[in-house]
Amino acid sequence: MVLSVNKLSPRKIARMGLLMAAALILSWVEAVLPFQIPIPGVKLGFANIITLVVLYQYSFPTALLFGILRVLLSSLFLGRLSGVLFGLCGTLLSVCGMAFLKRCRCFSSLSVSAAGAILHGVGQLTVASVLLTPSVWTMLPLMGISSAFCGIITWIPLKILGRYEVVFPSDGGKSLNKD
Amino acid sequence: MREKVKIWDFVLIAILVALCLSVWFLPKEQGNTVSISVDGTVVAVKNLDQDAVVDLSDGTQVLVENRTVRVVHSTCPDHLCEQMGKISACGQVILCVPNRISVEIRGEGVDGLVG
Ligand SMILES: [Zn+2]
Repeated sequence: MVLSVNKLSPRKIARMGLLMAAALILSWVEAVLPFQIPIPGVKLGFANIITLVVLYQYSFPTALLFGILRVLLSSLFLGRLSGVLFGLCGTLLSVCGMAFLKRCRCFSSLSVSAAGAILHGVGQLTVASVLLTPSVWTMLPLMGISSAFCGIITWIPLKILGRYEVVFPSDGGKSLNKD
Repeated sequence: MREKVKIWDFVLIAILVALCLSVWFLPKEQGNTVSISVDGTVVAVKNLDQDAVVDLSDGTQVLVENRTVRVVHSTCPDHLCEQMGKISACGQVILCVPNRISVEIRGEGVDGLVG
């Protein structure tokens, strides 16, 4: 629906390019940080802030495409192709879950961000349990707590971005789809 | 984006975290052996009672010491496997995603090299 060519205005293409650049920079920053969370699959998830911006501004299919492209490009740039399957499964699950929660009117973006982070970890564990060993599910408690924490932390900058008209237009993003 | 945090947010996050934590309450047995796999295929099984150093073909070094197991050296870019520390209880795992290595504690008692 949203991916049809006639709706891809030059403005949307330019904005998506900018957002993708921002997401890739955040992925890189996170990868070179001197401290890493010593649990496989758990990341601070700075780049997820941008996926959330896309989800709130555009739609679920756009956010899904954006998330998948971001994983492919960042693993290419960072030379971490071994993790691409993990990243894809995590992103797929997290974007689907976030879009679902956003539709439920009883939750705010805090839930969307936290649940997105947890689902990202669950997606990674799913791939690890298939490719490596099913025992990885014993890491679920640790992963759940730390992911929820990361999801709440990354929600704060999203909330700050939300104050700016440039990032989130007050008409709910309708103006973005116009030329 | 001008929405407020709702009570349901906390309910949902609490439920999701509780679901993740529920794994902790599954029955646990004591670990006897450690099995090391590459790409899902077991390459070495060691008894926890005997201290040992396992060298894998890609340069990864796994140390068995005082009934605990840890990765002491790895050729992977992130070295998360080294930072994961020691494991000793049945079902615990150390992963090295870039090198596709998993080290897990098991209950049954077999010793020796497989494959
Ligand atoms: Zn490693």
